[in-house]
Amino acid sequence: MIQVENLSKRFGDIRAVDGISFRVEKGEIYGLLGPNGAGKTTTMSMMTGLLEPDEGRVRFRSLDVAADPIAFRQQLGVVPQEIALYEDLTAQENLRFWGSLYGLGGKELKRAVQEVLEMVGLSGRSLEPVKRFSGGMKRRLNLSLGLVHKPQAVLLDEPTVGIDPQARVNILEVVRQVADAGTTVVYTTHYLEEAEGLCDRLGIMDHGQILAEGTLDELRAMVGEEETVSLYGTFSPEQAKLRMESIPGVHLIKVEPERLVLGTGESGRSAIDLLQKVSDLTVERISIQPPSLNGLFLKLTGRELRD
Amino acid sequence: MRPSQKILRLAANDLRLTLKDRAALIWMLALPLAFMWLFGQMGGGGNEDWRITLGVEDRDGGWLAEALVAELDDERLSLAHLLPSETASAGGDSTADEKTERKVRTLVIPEGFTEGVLVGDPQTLRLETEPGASAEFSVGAQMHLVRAVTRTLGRLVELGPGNSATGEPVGPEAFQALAARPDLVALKVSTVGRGRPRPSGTAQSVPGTLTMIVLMMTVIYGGVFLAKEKETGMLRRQASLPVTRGEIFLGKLVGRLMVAGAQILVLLLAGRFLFGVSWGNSPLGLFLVLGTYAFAVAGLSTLVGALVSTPDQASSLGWLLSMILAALGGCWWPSEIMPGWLRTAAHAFPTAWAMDGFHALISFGRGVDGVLLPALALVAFGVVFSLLGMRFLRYD
Repeated sequence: MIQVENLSKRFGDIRAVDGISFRVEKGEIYGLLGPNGAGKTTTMSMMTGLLEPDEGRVRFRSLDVAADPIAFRQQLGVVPQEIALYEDLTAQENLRFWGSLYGLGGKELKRAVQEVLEMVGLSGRSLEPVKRFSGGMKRRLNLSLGLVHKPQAVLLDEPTVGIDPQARVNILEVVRQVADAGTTVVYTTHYLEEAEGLCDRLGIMDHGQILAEGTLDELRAMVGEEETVSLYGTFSPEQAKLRMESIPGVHLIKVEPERLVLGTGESGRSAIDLLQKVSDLTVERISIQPPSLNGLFLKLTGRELRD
Repeated sequence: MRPSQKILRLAANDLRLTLKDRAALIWMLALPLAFMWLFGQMGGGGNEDWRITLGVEDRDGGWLAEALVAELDDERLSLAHLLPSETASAGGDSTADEKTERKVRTLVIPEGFTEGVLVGDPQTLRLETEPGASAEFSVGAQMHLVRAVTRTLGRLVELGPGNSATGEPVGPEAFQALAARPDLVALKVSTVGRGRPRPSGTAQSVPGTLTMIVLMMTVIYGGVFLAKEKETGMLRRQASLPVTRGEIFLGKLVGRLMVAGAQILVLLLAGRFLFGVSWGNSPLGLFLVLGTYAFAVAGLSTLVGALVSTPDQASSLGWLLSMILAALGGCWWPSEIMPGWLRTAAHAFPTAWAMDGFHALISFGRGVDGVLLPALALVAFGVVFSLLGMRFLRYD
């Protein structure tokens, strides 16, 4: 079990992480979902001991990470966002080096390397220099470096950035497999689909804070049956705002010069009412999103995840 | 796992990465050998050229002429016996061979020399020097010649006018018997203080090139490797391992030390067996100089890697530092030709101390006592560079 308590980090005037707390159980995948700059990587850096928090602490089982970082890291696997590999070495050499620094040696190291290569589907390419690998293969090897010593907990920081769908599926499968074997997983991402498909519980993060937390169902319940309607066109924001406020069951989420984002209380009915009421506005396009995490994020922050 | 094991595993990985880099191997090994040879030739070739060559044309052929030539036999003098026809036919500058210093000066012993000297008839020896011959070496030849004449005449004076009863002059047997006797007064010459000779040829180029190339390659490659690890996030990732930052830093330092050590070993053997350089008579002294120098440059490489942000910056800074330190440290030319103040100022850099150590071993035949100060200075450089590198290296 990993417990993060009131963790904060400030860089000058910027509060990168602002008093966040969460708890991840054994065998659970906890997702930190948020846009770039939300504070996810800073949180991860503090969890690994790379950055010293200004406040708060991280506990792993009964261990205080700040008090005994080496013991914690011995049981921890870290998969960073960047692909940190030695390109001139083979996949096997990279893994052997990494495993050896976790104290593995001899047959144990050899077996661990072979197992993790099979897990990520690279056993057939293990003797090739990494520089010949595709982006997806490098990502898989990057993942395997964090798993070679069979850690009790794994921190994965956006491990699927910039790869093809097939490699992504492989990585997500491996992460699920690792969690099923009882490893505690913390997974950061800004991909909604990944978070929805992979994580057992999620913390939605923005501006260094966790805005909402829970299982996927719990989070969806926060959105309720509300649909998100976006109107694109040319209209006066003030005029549109007044008009929308007069529609029952509709509330304004965001006003931009050429876009209005609205939440509609009762699925279907409010959207139809809305369309009738805005017939005099120059609306060029309408987008209706069913209840989703993006809708929740929009509701919580006024921004979309991709912003 | 013990800290020393972690450090060695990190260091061994650095060594393996370097060995996998073919460009690095060419720069570290092939290029220095070419430099050693090239600079050695520019500086006068190998150590054997330190012998002053002197051709001897003995037109007399008497025993006293032969005795005089025997007196010239010295380890610093390379004698070539010439027939009268050789000098006569060669003539002019055709006998000059500037590259090897062969036959560029000739001692001519005139006909009737032995007989004339024994009866008290003044004789003139001629030392003919070809245009372009080294003036320094010609003066050396003159000194050897004057010494040989003095000793020969001294023995004749000691032997006296010969057999007064028969009226026969001194014979070769009596002269040789006297020559075999140890000198009553001997002069031993040694070099101390400022009067030291200037190292040249491969005695300068081989240690100079070794010092420069080890510095250059260690600082550039060490800096580039470290900067690349920072840039790719590898260093940051290593910081998430169950190792302390001190262990990571020491791993990098020892890794560079191992690479520098391997390079030094190859160049050392090449200097000895390809270029015939004598590394002195003190293996321990040599180990002290080389070991401490490797430590100093390894420390400098980690400092460069810590200070820069990108591999390109590391490469540029490494080149610049290597050029400045090599030139001022006396790797390109003997520091003796530099002004005194500059020679003193150059000791702000490790290269000058390393060259001091090498010259103490190679040129002056000193032992451990002669390299203690340079070794201590190099250790101090290594410690300062390493501490600064540790201070400035950022993992996040």
